[in-house]
Amino acid sequence: MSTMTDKILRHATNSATTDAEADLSSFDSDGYTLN
Amino acid sequence: MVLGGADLTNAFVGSYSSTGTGTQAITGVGFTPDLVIATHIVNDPNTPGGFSTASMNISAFASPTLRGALSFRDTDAANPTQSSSYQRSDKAVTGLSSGSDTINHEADLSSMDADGFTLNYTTNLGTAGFGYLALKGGKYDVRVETQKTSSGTKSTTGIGFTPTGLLLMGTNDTASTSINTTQAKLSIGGSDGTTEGAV
Repeated sequence: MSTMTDKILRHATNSATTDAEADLSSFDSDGYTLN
Repeated sequence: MVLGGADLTNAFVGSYSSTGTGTQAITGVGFTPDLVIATHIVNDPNTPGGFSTASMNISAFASPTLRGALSFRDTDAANPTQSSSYQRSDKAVTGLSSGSDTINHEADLSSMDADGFTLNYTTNLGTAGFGYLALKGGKYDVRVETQKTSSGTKSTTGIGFTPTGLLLMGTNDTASTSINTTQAKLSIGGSDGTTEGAV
């Protein structure tokens, strides 16, 4: 398990292998954008 | 997670036991919820620290069309590994058996009611206890979103309002009517628009 304070999302196989991670870019008028 | 603000008028934490298939009204909430977050844990044996198998469900629902649910399970010290996960975009509650790749509980939301909510169980293999947090006030959207398959930005639209907070949960897999018997992963993340965090 890993804990990150600079990402909104992290999918990982283990603590060393990141499958996907994203930041929040913005809250928008009709939703949100991830980067 | 801390909730508050003038828009949030009511909050209630409760529990119920599933009783069978068909509709089940959960009452005693005291208001019509705008959002319910539910969870369900199965472990065997049911002794703290003595688990040999365990499963967990996390779900949320805001209306009969705005909902999502995920479950995952694992058997301790199994060889070969026994881990699986299950994620639905069209169910309000799911629950995997702790000891096998079996869907034990599954329900959709029929309605938010004046004193709680009504679930329609399509699968219910035995009584199970669920805990929930019901909220009234504010605006909520619950959905299953697909993950971008390359780097770069991806916008999710159709929410109908500008969010002030975002909570993401997933099993690192696509939503499906089938159990993924190869993995039991859970990712949770959130942001208030300035600060973000993920596990």
